[in-house]
Amino acid sequence: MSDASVRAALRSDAPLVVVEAPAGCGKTHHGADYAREVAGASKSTRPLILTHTHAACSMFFDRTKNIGPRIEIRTIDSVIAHIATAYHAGLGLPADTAAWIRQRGEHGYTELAVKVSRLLARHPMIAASLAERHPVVICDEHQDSSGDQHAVAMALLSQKARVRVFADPMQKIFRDKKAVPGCRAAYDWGDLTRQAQMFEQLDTPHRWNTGCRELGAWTLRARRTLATPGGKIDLRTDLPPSVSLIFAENQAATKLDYRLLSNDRRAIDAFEQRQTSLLILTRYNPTARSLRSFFNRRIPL
Amino acid sequence: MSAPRIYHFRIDRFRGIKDLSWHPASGVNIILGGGDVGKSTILDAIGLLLSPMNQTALADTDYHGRDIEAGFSIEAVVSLPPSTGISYQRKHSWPWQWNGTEAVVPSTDDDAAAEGDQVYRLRVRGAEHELFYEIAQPDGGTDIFPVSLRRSIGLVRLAGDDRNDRDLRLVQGSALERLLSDKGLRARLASGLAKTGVKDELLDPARELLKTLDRAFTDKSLPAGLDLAITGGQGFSVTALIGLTADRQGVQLPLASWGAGTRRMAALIIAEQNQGEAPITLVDEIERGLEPYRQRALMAKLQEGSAQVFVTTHSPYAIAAASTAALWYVDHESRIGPLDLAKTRNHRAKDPETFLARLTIVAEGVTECGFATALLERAVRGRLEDHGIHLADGAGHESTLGLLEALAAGGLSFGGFADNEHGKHPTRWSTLAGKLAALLFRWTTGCLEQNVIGALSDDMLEALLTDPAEVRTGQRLRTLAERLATGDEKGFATIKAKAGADLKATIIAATLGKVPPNKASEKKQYQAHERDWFKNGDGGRELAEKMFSLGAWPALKPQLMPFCNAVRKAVGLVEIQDLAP
Repeated sequence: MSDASVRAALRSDAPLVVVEAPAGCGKTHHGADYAREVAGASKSTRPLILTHTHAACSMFFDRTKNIGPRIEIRTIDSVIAHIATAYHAGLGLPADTAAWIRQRGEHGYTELAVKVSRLLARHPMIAASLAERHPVVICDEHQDSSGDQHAVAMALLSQKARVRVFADPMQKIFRDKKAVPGCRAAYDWGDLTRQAQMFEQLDTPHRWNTGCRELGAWTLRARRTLATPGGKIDLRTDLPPSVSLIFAENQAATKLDYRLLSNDRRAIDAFEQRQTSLLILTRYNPTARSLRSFFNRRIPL
Repeated sequence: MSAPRIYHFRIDRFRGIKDLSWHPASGVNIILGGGDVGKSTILDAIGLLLSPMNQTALADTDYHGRDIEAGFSIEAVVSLPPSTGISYQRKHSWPWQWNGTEAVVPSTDDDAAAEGDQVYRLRVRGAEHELFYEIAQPDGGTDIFPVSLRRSIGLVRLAGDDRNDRDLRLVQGSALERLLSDKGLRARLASGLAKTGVKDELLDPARELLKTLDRAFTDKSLPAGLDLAITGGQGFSVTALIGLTADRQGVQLPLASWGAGTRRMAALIIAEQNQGEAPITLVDEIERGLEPYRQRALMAKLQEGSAQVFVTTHSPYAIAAASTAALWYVDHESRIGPLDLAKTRNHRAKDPETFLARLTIVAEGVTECGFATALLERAVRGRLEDHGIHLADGAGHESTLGLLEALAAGGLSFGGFADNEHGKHPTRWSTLAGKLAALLFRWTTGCLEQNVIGALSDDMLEALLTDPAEVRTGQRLRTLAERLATGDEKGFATIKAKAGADLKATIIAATLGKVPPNKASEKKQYQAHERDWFKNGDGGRELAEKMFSLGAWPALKPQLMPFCNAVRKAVGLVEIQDLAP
């Protein structure tokens, strides 16, 4: 349960290693580090890093720059689209799959994933050829994978690719993607951890090293509390000493609007101007919109 | 799947082959056929497609009919083991699915097969004097088929031409280079060779000229301080000068200076040493430089291995040595088809020329062979060998039919010359006729003797039984006397008088060795009569010549002429109206 054991697990011969990693505990660091090492070991080995966002792609890209194109960093959707384009004739799709995806609107990629995961299940040779090219596959933010996206990763595993899954099931922000006909049910995190030959957890909040360590520790504690059924946290008490609390009452006349007394506002503004980031939790989306004007739109919300 | 294997091979407009589609077997493929039918072209096409070099020169004649504009294309559906690095290409090469007949795009359609080997479609196209190496992708596009991948596929070629000692040298992609795989050698040698004092070896005038050149360089502000050294360069490498040598009576000599047979065996052994590799191997004219016992040894060796091998041969020893190999025949229309190993066993052993001719005609027996030979000599106005025509003795009605069926099964074009024995096997014969058309000759009714003798007028019968060699005339008269029970009187006049209107029928019965109904006890004796007439080595020819000289030809011409013209056409001759008398 440490950086060292995660390091060792990633480098082991185990086909499937699952690493549960809360934010800020260094999963990108571990993933990129491992990918660099694999790519450096042999000229023909190209690790594949699967992410969910282009932002995550660039992050991995920055961390593996010196290795160059020998590490392939793609969003899982783009890999699925790549397979679909290669085999469009077998999937009953037009050659221009990108246009097909756009036509489908928000369901485009979801429907594509359904088709591609079925294709891979039926013709193991396709995953085999990909696994040959990418003997190591690193799945980033895997909690955001749909059932079909997960099936694509597992198809590579079944063709002898070593699959390294990083995920924080508590950070699932995409929810269950919109269901389309024929799609697979969301995969079960518990099943996946049991399937893995090695299951590790990262629990050193590295991101806080240069900031407030106590807050980092508190966050992990809070996370554990929330992970237990019925667990609750109280944001008002039992906080690290470095955390200051400002109680400011909303003075807005209209519902869901946001307005503060100037004294209260001063404390918040002072913080906001000093800092580079600010997390705001509200109960309703309209309140968040009101906050946008409250901060003079300086903060993109 | 540990070795590369060609599942399907296709040629379009390459050299003499207009189009060819072929599913070779996984082990040894022996390609037979007459001269100039395209056997070597098939090997050359495979060699070009998997060439480990960046070929440059293309000849006009590489294009079918010299039609450069139409281009040519050679394509193979192959399985490639991971060791070839197919999955490490710059752009990912996607596999196709082999459905048993062709490469198809893997599909999720319910009726599409789920099983099938992982294959790739490799292609080389010739267009405008340039070669384009491509890997066809399932999305309809193509990626480059790079020389590095071709090199790692590691084709081994034991070429027919004597000058080629590629595999005994350290040239890039050669078996020897792959075996030693010492990547740093080139660099180490280059630095060592660079120190060779070439200049010191120069004679004074040459050394002076080099100095003059150096001054001219200095004047023009070009790099100066000129010297000569051994260096590699674009398209050639110093290591290509390095070849295997071996001890011959105390002297190290290049292996390339040994005989062709030894060189080819050596190249094969080198390729074999590459651990775990079973490269696609081409052997052009396996008999070249090899004594019969070494041909048999090489065939056995190839058949033991797991590599896919393509062999051409004209050697009866090699053909007879094929025990597990797949036999293929290229016919005069450059079509390739299988020869059933079991059904062709007798002929491979006894008459291998059957499979080495441009056009083989299987005749029903020895008489038919002689008759058809004489007939066709008139038809092509020359010796049959000169046209690559071979007459094979089918040794009986049943076996002739079986052999022709085996040959026609592969869609090959063969000829046949057979009787119509009491309408036996009507369906099988008509199926065969559908395939071979006019190249299959059968009498409308009856057999050769019945037809030819039947077409003679009665006053020609005495001339018929007169043996031009004067050996058999008396014996023939004796067979008739015996059948007509003329006692000691064996003169033709007596026989003719005794036979009356039955003379012709009696002669036909004798030529066929028919046993009269009341003579069953002397069966053997009567059956032997046929040998005194035409059932012997020269009999068929004699009968053919008498057909012309005794006036039977006009009556038989309508039956025989289409066959003669079909044979003419098969060997590239124009149709004619009649045969010279």
